[in-house]
Amino acid sequence: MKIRTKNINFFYGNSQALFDVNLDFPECCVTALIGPSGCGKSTYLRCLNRMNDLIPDAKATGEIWLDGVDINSRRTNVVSLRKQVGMVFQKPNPFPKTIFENVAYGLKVNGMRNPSEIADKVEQSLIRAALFDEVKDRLHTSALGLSGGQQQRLCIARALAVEPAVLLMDEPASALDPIATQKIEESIHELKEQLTIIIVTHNMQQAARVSDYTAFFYMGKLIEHGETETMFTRPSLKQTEDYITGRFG
Amino acid sequence: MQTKETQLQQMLSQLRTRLLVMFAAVGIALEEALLALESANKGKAQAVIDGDDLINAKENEIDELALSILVRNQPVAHDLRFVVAALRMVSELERIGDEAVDIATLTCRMDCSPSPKMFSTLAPLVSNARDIYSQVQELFKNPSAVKALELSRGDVDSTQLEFTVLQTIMTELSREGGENCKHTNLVSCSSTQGILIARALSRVCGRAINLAEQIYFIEQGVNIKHLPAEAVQSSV
Repeated sequence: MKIRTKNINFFYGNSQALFDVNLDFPECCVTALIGPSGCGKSTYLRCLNRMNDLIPDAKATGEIWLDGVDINSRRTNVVSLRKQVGMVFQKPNPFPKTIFENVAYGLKVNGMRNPSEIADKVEQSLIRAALFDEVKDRLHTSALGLSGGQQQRLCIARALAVEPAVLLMDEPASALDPIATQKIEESIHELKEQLTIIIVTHNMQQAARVSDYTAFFYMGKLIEHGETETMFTRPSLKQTEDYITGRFG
Repeated sequence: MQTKETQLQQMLSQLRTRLLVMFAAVGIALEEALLALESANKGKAQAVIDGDDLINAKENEIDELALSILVRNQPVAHDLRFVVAALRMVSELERIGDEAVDIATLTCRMDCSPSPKMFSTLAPLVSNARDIYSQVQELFKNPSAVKALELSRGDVDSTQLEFTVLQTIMTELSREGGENCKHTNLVSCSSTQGILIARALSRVCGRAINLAEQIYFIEQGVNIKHLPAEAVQSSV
């Protein structure tokens, strides 16, 4: 297992958002987190690279182990953790810089200085995010001139540049058209050969298409978790069945 | 919780209703074909043959509706299993309709009525086909995984029954033919019909059992088609 989580509870002030979540993520697999809005799946996702640390009055308990290391330990360097566990958000958020600089940014922050090495990394990251062919002739133009789908793939390339072991994706295709969505999904399919990917999605078909495992959350609890094919053909619990068949949620 | 039916739920209800109608239409065709055979009623038999177009049309309607559900709603879990099974079941039902037509066609072509002895020979198979079909029809109305599994394991009985019937006919054929050469043609004509009818009835049983397997698949999500008994037990 790449990541193991045990008894995860999360509180926004006095309001509890997650209840004793136990969930493990196998290496080089895609796991989809599904559930109705407000069920805690994004909160849980943000626990995995301690993004929730930035929220005032928020408190997390439980254990999260990445490659056998407790990420909540005082000795954990959060910056280093987020380099290992990259994240792509729902809305593409490129920096107001060139395409090249967007991808190179993380590399420079991490101390890479050699221009040719940086250029190689940028190219590799753009290729891995399935964007290079579309932008290779305009790498030094503004990233804000890209379409929504291209911006999102640029954000994926930016996350990949620092070579994370895990990629968290919070509804990465929810604002994109079907073609752009398909390209993101193809990237996910390619990337999982080297990365562990955890994706939050409201799109059941997308979860069925891209993931190897699916976890269903409801009201802050992990209700059911299993192989995607099983979850979408014969889930064990009626609650899961009712949600994925659109009977509630 | 939503109280209003979604478009998917409405379409699934429609699919279920159409399948129930098809079950009934095929059941009637089968029963009429057997009654026509028993009474050597060629008019009744012809009505079964003529009615087959309606059954075929229903198959096409159900196919189209199932495809439409897949395209529009991308169902999952029980809904997906139901649509997939519907596509398989409608094909089985249409073929049971074809078996009824085959029996009716044999009745129409009869120049010699089957002897009462032939009827008594076929009776267990006729009764078995009626019984299995009515059971599977009831099972579709009120699904039960346990009953579906039980019914689907009955194919060994049907095969055994067909074998016994065929053996009886063959024994009868050789004995009667040997005893009285004048009646040989008559006996062989009746026996040939008997064999063909036995085959058709056996296929009805086999297809009804396939339907039971699909009902089990809908309920449990486990495909028991072509599995030996031990494998079924372990998958259950």
